[in-house]
Amino acid sequence: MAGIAFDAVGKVYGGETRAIADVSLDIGDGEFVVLVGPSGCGKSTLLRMVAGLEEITEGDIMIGDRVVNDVAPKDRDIAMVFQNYALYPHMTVRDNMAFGLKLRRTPKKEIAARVEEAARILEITDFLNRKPKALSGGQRQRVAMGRAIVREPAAFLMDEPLSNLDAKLRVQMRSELGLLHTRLGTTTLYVTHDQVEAMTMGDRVAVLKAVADASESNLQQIAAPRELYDRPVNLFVAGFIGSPAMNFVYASVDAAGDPASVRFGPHSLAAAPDSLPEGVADRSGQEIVLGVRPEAFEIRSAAGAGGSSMNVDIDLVEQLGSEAYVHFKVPVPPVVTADIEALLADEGSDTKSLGNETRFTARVNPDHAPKAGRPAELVVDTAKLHFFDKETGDAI
Amino acid sequence: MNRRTDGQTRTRRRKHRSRNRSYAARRRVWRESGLVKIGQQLLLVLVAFVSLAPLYTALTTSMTPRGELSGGGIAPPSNPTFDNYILAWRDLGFQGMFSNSAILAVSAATATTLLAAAAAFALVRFRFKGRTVLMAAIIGAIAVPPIVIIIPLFLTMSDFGWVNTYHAAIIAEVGLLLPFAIFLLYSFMKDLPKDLFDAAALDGAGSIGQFRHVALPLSRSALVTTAMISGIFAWNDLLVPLILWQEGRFETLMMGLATLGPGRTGVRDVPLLMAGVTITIIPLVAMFAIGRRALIRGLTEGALK
Repeated sequence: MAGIAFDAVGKVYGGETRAIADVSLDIGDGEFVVLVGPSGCGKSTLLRMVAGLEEITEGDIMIGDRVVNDVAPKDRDIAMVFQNYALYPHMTVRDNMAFGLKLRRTPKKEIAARVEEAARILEITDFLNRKPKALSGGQRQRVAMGRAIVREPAAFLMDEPLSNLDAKLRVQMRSELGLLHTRLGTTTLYVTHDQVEAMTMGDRVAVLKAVADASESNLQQIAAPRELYDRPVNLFVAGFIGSPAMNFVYASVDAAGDPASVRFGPHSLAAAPDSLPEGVADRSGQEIVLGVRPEAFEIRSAAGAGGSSMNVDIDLVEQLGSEAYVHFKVPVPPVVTADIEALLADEGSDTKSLGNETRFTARVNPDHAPKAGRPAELVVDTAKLHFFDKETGDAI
Repeated sequence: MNRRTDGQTRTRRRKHRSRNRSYAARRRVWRESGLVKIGQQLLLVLVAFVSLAPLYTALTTSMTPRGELSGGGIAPPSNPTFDNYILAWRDLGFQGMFSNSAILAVSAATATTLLAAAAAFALVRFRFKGRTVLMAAIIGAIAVPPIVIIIPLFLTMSDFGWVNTYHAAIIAEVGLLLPFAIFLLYSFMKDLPKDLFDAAALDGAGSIGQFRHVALPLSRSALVTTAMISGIFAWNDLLVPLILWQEGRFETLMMGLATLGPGRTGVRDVPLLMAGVTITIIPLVAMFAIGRRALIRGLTEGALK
């Protein structure tokens, strides 16, 4: 086993189209790191560069202590699981799993033993003599995993391996992959566009963004899931991680008084000065971007007395049983930055769709959910506010 | 009042829909009626007749004793005989011609298929400068009629001193067949999922390994089709062996038929000619019978997705 290291890695197609710029990150031996980001952010390209399927045009990639830029895929000692499984349709499950070992001239006895062992772990022993065509999606997924683990490679690369499965099976395979990683302890680099997969599976999660030129890096932040959620470094990460997404609004902070106040539109939230991040006080009076996670809100009746609150008119209530989403508007023009535009583009819409008011979503106790069209008082946990520079989008 | 109007509209709509349905139903009845089916069957019978009648005539005529030629007709010969076959096979040298034709067809088909498969794989998998131009040139070469290049081909072969050697006609035949064969296999291989090759590369296969273990087995039906079409073409070809295999020992079936065929003085011996024709087409018919399904699959199906 081995770690994987990226050192200022870049990729330019045909000398002009830039896909990757300045990505540096270290993946420790045995670590499970997830690359996540909207489509076009370069996550699959990075993975394929590690595999040797895409040329590395800038920087170095190391597997273990060896620079692999010019090493052929077959000599990199890694196994990859593809989105559509890429099982050889003309071979049985057994032959699919044994193929890599056969090419490496592993003794027949050992091949048989390793295939049996992998099949046992993945519970596919009964299908060993079937062709992939005769398997369900979930079974094919297991075979693809089996093909990777029999090789006992230095690292696993997984390219959206669960995205072709239906929702229920995806949840099941997600936990099985997690258990498998705990059991095998093989370094894993996992690509997904699904933030739930990213947050639940990764020891650390790397959030990537599409880049236009070499002046910025695709890599926005790499951190443990909770850290990423609690302390996003910029608007992009803050807006990408979390569902429903974080609410953003132009606001100003008055840090002179005690309590300090955070104002946006007609609302003013009182916050203990020491609960605000350092640096916010320096921006007192300036316009900044305030970020509020939906779960920082609660209905007054559920929150009890005390705390800072705001009165709003509820537009829509989505009752999920376990929680309720409450939608309302704040009469302030919506926040528009390059990051917000990138996030909207990934959802297939643009800033024009935002209108002239800022839409908010609150996640509240389902038993206390208000009725649509009625006013409601929402209590805000001011310790969980996020502040960003309105020009750069960086967290303050 | 309002409700009544609504009701009326609904009734009218329903009536309208039912009229539509009955029209569709009438069309369906017409389509499923025996008449259309009978028409289709008749057409197929006609096509089959046009295709099979010459073969039947060739077969019956070939079994008519020499000199007894009745002038065709569909009646089988009154006293069938295999004399014509024996004469053609043994005395007129059709035995040797048969083996020459077989050598030419089998070697040309094998070499063409293997070379075309390798070329198609390279065109699909490798990105190199001039790839598009090369592809265009190959497709363009399909359109060149063999007769146009046969004289330069002969001159080249005689420069090498290869005229009247086995490999001369085989190489020339392969050269003529390659463009179409490459095109056919390229169209098939380009639809093979790229991930399979990537997976094989990570599993430890180099380009040759990917060709052998992934491209070839997955292109089986296309390979069979290519080999069959190449084999048929070489078997039926008169021009190349006529020019490059000039000695009697190299004579092929097509050359034999040409000498038996109508000359300036008219047809010499029709039953004998038909015996030669039948000998010539039996292997083709047998091959179609065996490889029919693979041939159709290779021509009509794309690669598995």
